[in-house]
Amino acid sequence: MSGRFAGPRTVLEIDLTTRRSRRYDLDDADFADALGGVGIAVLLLERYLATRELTRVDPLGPHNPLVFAAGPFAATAVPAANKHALATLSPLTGLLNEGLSSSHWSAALRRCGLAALLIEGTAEGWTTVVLDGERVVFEDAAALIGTTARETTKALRAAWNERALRVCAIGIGGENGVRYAAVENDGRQAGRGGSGAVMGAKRLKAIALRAHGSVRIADPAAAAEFAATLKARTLGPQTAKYRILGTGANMRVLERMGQLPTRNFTASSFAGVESVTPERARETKAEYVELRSGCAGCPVQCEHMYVKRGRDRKSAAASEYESVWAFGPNCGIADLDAVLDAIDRCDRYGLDTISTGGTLAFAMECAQHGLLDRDAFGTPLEFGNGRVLGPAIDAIARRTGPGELLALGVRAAAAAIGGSAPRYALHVKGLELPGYEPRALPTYALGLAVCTRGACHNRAATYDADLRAPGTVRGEAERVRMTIEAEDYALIWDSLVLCKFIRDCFVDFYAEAAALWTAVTGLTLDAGKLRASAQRTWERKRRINARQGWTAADDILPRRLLTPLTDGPYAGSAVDAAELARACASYSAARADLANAAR
Amino acid sequence: MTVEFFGMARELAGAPQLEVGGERMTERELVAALAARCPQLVGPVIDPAALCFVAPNLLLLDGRRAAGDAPFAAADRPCVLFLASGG
Ligand code: SF4
Repeated sequence: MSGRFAGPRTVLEIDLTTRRSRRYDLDDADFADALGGVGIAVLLLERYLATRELTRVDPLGPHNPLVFAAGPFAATAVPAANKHALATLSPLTGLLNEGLSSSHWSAALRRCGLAALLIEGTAEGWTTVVLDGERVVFEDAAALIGTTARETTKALRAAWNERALRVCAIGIGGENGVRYAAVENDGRQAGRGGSGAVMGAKRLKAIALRAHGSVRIADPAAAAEFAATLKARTLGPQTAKYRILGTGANMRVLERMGQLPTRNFTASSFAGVESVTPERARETKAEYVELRSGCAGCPVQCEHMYVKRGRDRKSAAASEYESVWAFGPNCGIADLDAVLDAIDRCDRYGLDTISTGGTLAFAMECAQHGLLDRDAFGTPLEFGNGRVLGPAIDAIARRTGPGELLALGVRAAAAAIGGSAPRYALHVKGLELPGYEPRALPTYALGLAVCTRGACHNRAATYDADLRAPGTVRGEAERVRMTIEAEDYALIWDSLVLCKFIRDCFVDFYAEAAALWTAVTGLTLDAGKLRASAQRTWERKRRINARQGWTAADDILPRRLLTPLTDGPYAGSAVDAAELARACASYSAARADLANAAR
Repeated sequence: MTVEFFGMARELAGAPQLEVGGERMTERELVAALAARCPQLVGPVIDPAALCFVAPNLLLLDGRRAAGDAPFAAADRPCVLFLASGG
């Protein structure tokens, strides 16, 4: 390591119970070790638990910290890099939950002079924390309760007479402790795993940043040159799929591949797909208006939002594949308007769309088997009924009627319902499944089972490799190797933090990312050190989970995935439980070897 | 035979599918036929020198990657597609 870390190195710790705060600096060695973003957030979370000797911490209790860590390229000219990580213990899984969000708030965190912000304790009443330069201000947030994150932002900007105030906040879902509530800033969300419920349990409505400073760059000329090259590439063919189509285009592709999870993973093909694919909205310009948005400082602007012509543009809903899948095929609903309305509701309430859709699909199947009241929402709770989405999401966010139970997520709800309900609960370690079919994607199946976060496709990113070579049969050793490589690759991106949508914009990712890091931070880095950093962060993640009670027995997939698919080209494919257990053991052994080799 | 397009290939071709003639075409022959019929695909989707698809575009048959030298039959419906991962 040479040089000295050029960016902000301060951690601000705030205790909501005592309303005290303290600041301290991270060492160069910490940045060299964990880089930034997810790496630093996980490092700080583990230190917090270890120094207090905390185990089996209640995610909704005062000793579960919320750790926000800035991406080390945020507030610089590097494109697609205004990002931050949010690490905490998940109320869905009881384990580590590390997510990402992006845009102005991420940059403002660094411009407030901070590398990270750690919030512990529980406020006595609803509170907003405002960082005004060096000042930490605690404000009564009672008047903001019941508002959306956007309304909260507007109100705080008006109160502070500051249009550039950057706000992250929870909506009604987080206030009411929905276990899959999100945290939102600038219209972007740290969505999965229920960080919004943790924030709500702390009675923390919002964190507002009034940034005064700028961020120092070690070698401004080299960093600017690199940023310009990368920016030019992000406007080229490498990102055309995101700029022109968005991830919603995956819907038709997965249907044609016979891998579109449908009706709570009971089928792999959805007859109504053409009625619900976002591409249809794009193609029927007379019917829908398309709006584009994205994160600050990113030329890609990958978010494609749609609203029916004549309707309020503010209700335009993002058409990410995962969100549309969760309420469309996974709930058997072939009504794009109902699906877009469901996504919009989730955004307004501050709910994770994947878990909300997964929970509703679970509820529909429970109702089908007489385990839940089919008429509880005034219109049948059944696959294919788009009219039920709105009232059901309202009930979840407000925790009324069956919404009280469904707000717990599928694992806890299934345990409470009993009977055959756990069979219909599609989750890994408590986190609801995203929209890829593990029975057709064997490397992804392993990645999903061992994922420290539960069923997260962005951490267990091996679906990408499987989908680039569909139907390829791989041996156990190769799947283990690919799983580790994909996890570490994702960890490097999430620690740097760069948006993975620009992954094809690098010619030699490891070498170029290391050079960029050195230009921006002043610390030297090479490809080997980048990989070693990912392994160390992975070890921390596993140690945090072990503190929370994780054992290897938790690395399993839902029972439904062990039964063969019955339709499409992958009919007959299933996850073999014994084979998966062996692969999980090989994976742990390989990770242990890597840890030993690094010592 | 009918070749189906998805995602960017469909966007560039301006059509969801295209009829290409010929019984028992190999993948290389199919790529050459597509390049001739749909020059917009050359570059972003088709590598004209190697006569193959530019990664991550791939050719799919019956949900699996169309493999090697086995020729396509006239009744086959190969698909040109790729996935935009994430999101
Ligand atoms: S590609 Fe999309 S998600 Fe990624 S930084 Fe740009 S706008 Fe944000």
